[in-house]
Amino acid sequence: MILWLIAWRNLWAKPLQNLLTVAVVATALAMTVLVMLVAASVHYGLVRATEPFDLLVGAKGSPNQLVLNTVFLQDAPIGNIDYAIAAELAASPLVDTAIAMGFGDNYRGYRLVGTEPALFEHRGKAGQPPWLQIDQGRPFQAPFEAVLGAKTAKETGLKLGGQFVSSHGVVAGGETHAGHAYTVVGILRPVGGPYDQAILTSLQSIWQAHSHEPEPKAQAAVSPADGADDDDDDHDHGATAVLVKPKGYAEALRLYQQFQKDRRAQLVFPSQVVANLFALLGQGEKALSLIGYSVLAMALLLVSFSMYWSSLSRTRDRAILRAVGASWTDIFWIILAEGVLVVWSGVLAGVLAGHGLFSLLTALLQQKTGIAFAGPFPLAEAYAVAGALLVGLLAAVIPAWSVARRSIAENLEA
Amino acid sequence: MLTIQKLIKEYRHPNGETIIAADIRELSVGQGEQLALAGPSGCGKTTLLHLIAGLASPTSGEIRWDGERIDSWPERKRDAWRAGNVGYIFQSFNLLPGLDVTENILVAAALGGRKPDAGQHRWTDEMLARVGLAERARHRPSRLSMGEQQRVAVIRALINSPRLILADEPTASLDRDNAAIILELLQALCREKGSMLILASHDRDVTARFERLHELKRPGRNPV
Ligand SMILES: Nc1ncnc2c1ncn2[C@@H]1O[C@H](COP(=O)(O)OP(=O)(O)OP(=O)(O)O)[C@@H](O)[C@H]1O
Ligand SMILES: [Mg+2]
Repeated sequence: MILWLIAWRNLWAKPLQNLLTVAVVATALAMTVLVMLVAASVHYGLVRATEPFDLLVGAKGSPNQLVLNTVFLQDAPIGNIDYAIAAELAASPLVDTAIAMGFGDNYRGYRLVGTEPALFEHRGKAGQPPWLQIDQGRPFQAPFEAVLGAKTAKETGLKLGGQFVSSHGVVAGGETHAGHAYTVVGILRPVGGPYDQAILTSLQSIWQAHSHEPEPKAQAAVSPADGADDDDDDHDHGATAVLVKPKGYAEALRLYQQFQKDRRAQLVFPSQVVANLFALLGQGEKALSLIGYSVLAMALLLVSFSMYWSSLSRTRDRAILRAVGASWTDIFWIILAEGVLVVWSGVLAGVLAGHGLFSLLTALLQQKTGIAFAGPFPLAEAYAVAGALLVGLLAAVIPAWSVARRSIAENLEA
Repeated sequence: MLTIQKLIKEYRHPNGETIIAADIRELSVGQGEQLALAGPSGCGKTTLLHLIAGLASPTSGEIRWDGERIDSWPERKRDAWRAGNVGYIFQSFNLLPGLDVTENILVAAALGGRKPDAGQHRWTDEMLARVGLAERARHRPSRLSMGEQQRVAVIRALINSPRLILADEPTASLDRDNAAIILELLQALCREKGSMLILASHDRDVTARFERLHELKRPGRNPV
C-alpha cells in the first residue's frame, strides 16, 4: 500500500511529464482500437445488411451499383429490366421465391421501394423469422398504400393513416408526383439495416405514379410507349431488381450460368460483391493496424526509456528510501508501480477514447446509411488491449529492475 | 553495542587503481552513547556510515551489532534490520519531494510491511509542534527551508525509536543558528529514546559538542 502511495505521489511530483506519457500511450491505443472496431463493425454491419439478399437480378452494368442500390439503398439504379424476367424467375424450377423490386421515387429523401407483399414473408435463412416484420398496422394491399421503415416513421413523423406525396428520383428535391398521395398503413420493426429508412409500397403504385403523370418532356417528344401505356398492361412495366431465393446452392450456380448468357439482365451474389469489397478494404485495414501497432510499440519504448532515465535521475529518492528501510525490492515495486500506473492509465484512456470516437463515427454512419454497426467487440481488440497491458508491464519491469539493482552507496551523497 | 574491527572498504576504479575508501582498525560504541566521527574530506566518514547501515558491504573486516556479524548478513536481512533499528540523516535532501511533511516522517514507520500505529501518529504531531512546524504538517518539502527540512529529517530518523542513529554532516548546509537547533534536537531526542548516535562531521564546532570523538585518517591508496 505504502509503495503504491509513494509511486502515486512520485508521479504527481512531475505531472506534466507523466501526463504527456499517458497521452502518447492513449493516442497510440485509441488509434489501434478505432481501426479494429471500425473494420469489425463495418464488416458486421454490411454482412448483416446483405444477409437477406441471396441473389439479385438486375439490369446489366456494375454489380457493385446493383448491390449498393438494392441492398444499401445508395447510389442510383442502373436501369429497369422487363417485369417478365421476374415472372420467368418465379416460375423457374431452380427458384424458391422471386420478388420484384422497383426504385426511382422518394419522399423527402426516403426511398420508395416498390415491391410485392411476398417481401414480408422473405427470410434471410430458412427457419429464421421473416426479415421485415410489421410493428404497427398491416402490409400494403391496394395501390398507394405504404409501409414505413422504423427510422423513416420516426424521422418523418408519419403515423398510421398519414398521407404523403412522393417525388421523382432517388434523392430529395425531384418533382412531386402530384395527385397521387400515399397512405401509411403499416410501420416496420427496426431491422438494423438500410431498410429502416425505406418506404415499402406495391410495384403498381410506382408504375401508376409514373404513368398517370403528364411528363412535359416525354409529351413533347413523340413517345409511343408512354402513350400506349395503361395500368393493366403490366408487361410494359419494369422492375429495377429481382430478389431471388434459389432452391439451393447448386441451383444458384445453375441460375448464375443461365444469366451469364442472358443479354437482358445480370445476376449477382451480393455477399460475394461485399466480400470483394472487403478484400479491398482489408488492405487498408492491415496498413492502418500496422501503423497503429508501430506507434504503440514506439510509445511503449518511449515509456520504458523515459522511466529508466527519470528513475535514474531520482537517485536521491531511492537513497532516502533505502536509508529509511526500503529494500531493493521495495524500490523495484515503486518504480514498477509508477510505470504500470502511467502505461495502464494510458491504455485505459486510449480504449475509452477509441470507443468514444467509434460510437461517434458509427452514430454518424448509421444516421447516413441506416446500417447498425454495433456488432460484438472484436476479439482482436481484446488481444491488442491485453497485449498493450502486458507489454506495458514489461516496459516498466525492465527499467525498474535495472535501476533498483544499482548500488545505492555509489550514488549516495552526504 | 556496535563493534568494528579491521574494517576496510576498497573501490576499484576502471583504470585499475584500487582506492581504499575507509580503513578503521577498531571502534566500539555502547548503547545510548553519542559519538562524533571527525576527519578531513575523503577520509571515509560517509563510507563508514554506509557500511554500518548495510548500504554497502566491506571488502574485509567485521561489523558486529550486539555481537552479531551484520556485515555477513544477506541483503534482505540487513534491509529489515535497518528498517527496524537504524535512523539515517543525510547532509541535505532527506525528504521525498512527492510526500508531505507528515508522510515523509511516517514513511519510515510504514516500510517493511509495517503500519504506523496511533502512538507514532501522535508522536509525529507532538514532535512537529515541538520544532515549530505544526502548521507545516501538510506542506511539501519544497516549501520548507533547509533548516526546517532537516528538523523533519531528524524527527523521521527517530520515529521507529531506532537503537542507532547515523547522521552524515546533518548541519553542513545550515547556518550556525540552524545548525545548533538541529544538533540540540538530535542529541536531546537520542538521549530521550536511548539511541546510539554516530554523527560524521569535519566541523570542529559540531564535533566539540560530543563527549566522544573518533578521528579518521585519510586512508592510503594502493596502486595495483
Ligand atoms: N563509489 C565509490 N567509488 C569510488 N570511490 C569512492 C566511492 N565512494 C567513495 N569513494 C572514495 O572513497 C574515499 C572516501 O569517501 P567518503 O565519501 O567516505 O569521504 P568523506 O569522509 O565522507 O568525505 P567528505 O567529508 O567530503 O564527505 C574518497 O576518496 C572517495 O573518492
Ligand atoms: Mg561524506
